Amino acid sequence: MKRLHRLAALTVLPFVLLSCGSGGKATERTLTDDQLVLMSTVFYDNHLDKGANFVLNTVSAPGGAAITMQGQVDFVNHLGYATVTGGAQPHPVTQVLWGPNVVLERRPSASAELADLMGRRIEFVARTIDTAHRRLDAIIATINALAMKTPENVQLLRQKEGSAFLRNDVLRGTDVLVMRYGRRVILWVDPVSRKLLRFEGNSANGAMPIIVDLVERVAPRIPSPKKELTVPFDELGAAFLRIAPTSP
Amino acid sequence: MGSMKSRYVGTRLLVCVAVLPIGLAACASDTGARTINVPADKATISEAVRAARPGDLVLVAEGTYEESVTVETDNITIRGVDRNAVVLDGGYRRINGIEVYADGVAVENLTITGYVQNGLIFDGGYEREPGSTPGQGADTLVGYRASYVTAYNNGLYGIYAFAARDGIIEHSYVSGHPDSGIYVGQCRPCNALVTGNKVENNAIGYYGTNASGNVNVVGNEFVGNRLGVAPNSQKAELLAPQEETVVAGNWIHDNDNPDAPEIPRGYFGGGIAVGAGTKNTVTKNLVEGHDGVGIEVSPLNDLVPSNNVVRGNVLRDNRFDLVYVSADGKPNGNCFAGNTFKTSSPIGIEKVMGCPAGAGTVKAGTYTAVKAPPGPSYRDVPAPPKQENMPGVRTTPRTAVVAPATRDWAADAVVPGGK
Repeated sequence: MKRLHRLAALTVLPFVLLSCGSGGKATERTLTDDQLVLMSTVFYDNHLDKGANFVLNTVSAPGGAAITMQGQVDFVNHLGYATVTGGAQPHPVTQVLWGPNVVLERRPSASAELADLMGRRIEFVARTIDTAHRRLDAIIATINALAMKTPENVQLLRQKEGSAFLRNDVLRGTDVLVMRYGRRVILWVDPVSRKLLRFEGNSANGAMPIIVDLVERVAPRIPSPKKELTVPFDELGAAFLRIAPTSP
Repeated sequence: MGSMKSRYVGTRLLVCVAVLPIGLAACASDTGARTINVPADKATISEAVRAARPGDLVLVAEGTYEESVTVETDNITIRGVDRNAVVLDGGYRRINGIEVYADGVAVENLTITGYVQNGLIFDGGYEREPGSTPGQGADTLVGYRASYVTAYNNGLYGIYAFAARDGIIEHSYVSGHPDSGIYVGQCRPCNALVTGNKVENNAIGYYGTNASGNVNVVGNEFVGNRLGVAPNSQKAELLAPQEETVVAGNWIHDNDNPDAPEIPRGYFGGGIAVGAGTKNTVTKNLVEGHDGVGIEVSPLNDLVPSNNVVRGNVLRDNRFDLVYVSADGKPNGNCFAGNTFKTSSPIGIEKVMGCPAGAGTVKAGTYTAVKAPPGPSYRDVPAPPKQENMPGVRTTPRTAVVAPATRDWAADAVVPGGK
């Protein structure tokens, strides 16, 4: 049966509106038809664009450490990679790759302990994606959800509670429309190129903001780590959790 | 403005004279209704529609029209002279082929393809009264008809009636949509008739979210979709739960086509799926050749189906012919009787859930959903073959849009073709 509805992946994440930037309610008004159409196609356009370089800023947990990720996403195949700074201690993740159901994380400061465990050099630990329990995986799900295979239904967007035009603004030198998508998301869209330039979200309690800047559309080239340098999480089990109990 | 009108009338008279030899009967009627010819009178369909007054016929000559048409004038008809040769082409850039915000509009005998969203949409949710609910009461588009329309390879829906009532979708061919081919949504009462259509190679053939009250899906063919027919309730739209659709006398077969575009996380391999619908009647359909289910009644999200009647259908060559999925172990007024079938989940479904529905409990069956394979882009679905033209396109004057006839469609339907 049909999904409910197209941004399900977004709505299941615990993100809601992050109100950041200038302006605000002073200019808030009902979306025009043109703005609704624009909103209805930005995620679809990301799919058509196939991939993008991105910079992401968020926090590891409510009140937690800042995390910055910089990398590339393949919107069609739900692949990606990023360098990671900040986040959990000890042994923070510094690099991550992902596929539709798998996350590979690299924690260089744990390399000696991993080598002791496996008897060989290990660069990446591969595990099944777990958006419910791992912050890193929830962030990745947000990135993947910025593309959809179909446009959205304008008629339903029109009556989606919370959606509104917020203001005109400038982002990275480009004039943009800032629009609230439902109650939980803000989109910064270039009305000329019709591209999504920035996505904002937050947790239900407002303590876990996330901002994803799509800085450049690219033909994605996601690297694969060498198999001999990767170990499945299941082979490490509890030992890995003792080494790196948090994510990230 | 006055001079423009004068020029227009002069042009119209000349065109009337010019086309008389090929049989156009009605350039102007006694009531003042006119025929506006495209491109003879107006270069584009949009220009002609903007010039039209209630009662006018916009008659479109053969050609490819790269435009999106917006209709805001009540009671006009847009008609192509050749269904296969009058083509609105969105070029995968334009949003909707024809978007209708007015009452009593008919679209006839043309092809719409390559739009980013909808081929043809009748949209009654456009202007809302403060606090009102589109699709209910006065806040509704009233009167629409799509006849002999071919809609294929548009990015969302082929023919879509939203917050609209008193409508007919007939003799149309709809294919290659990554959502539903025909969609009637958010209306109460809908008074809608969907009949005589062939709906093929879509993610879903017919979808009726929160479409309630005298909805009749009768005498169609749904083939090669991922799911054939789905009256359903969803909280994502207003006016839930869905009620009172009759699905009768349809030939619904082989809706397990991996080469149809897919909806993300969508259903695969079913003939009819009543997703949390209520008070629907599914009867006298021929449902065959599905990898998943012939007819299924099941919850959708956190909504529960109730008081649906599945009676007198012929089912064959489905992995499961009849399926009931219970959220709470109760029949909730749903019942199955008089069907020709072999397999069901739960086993013996007509014994444990016969009509009229009783109380008690229903054991969980063995049915499990089919995993949907990935599908192609809607742009890559093969174009359909030529379709039958509407009779009398050059000789029949504009016909007013009327509400579907009041009729007991369930009683009158027959199982298709004695198959």
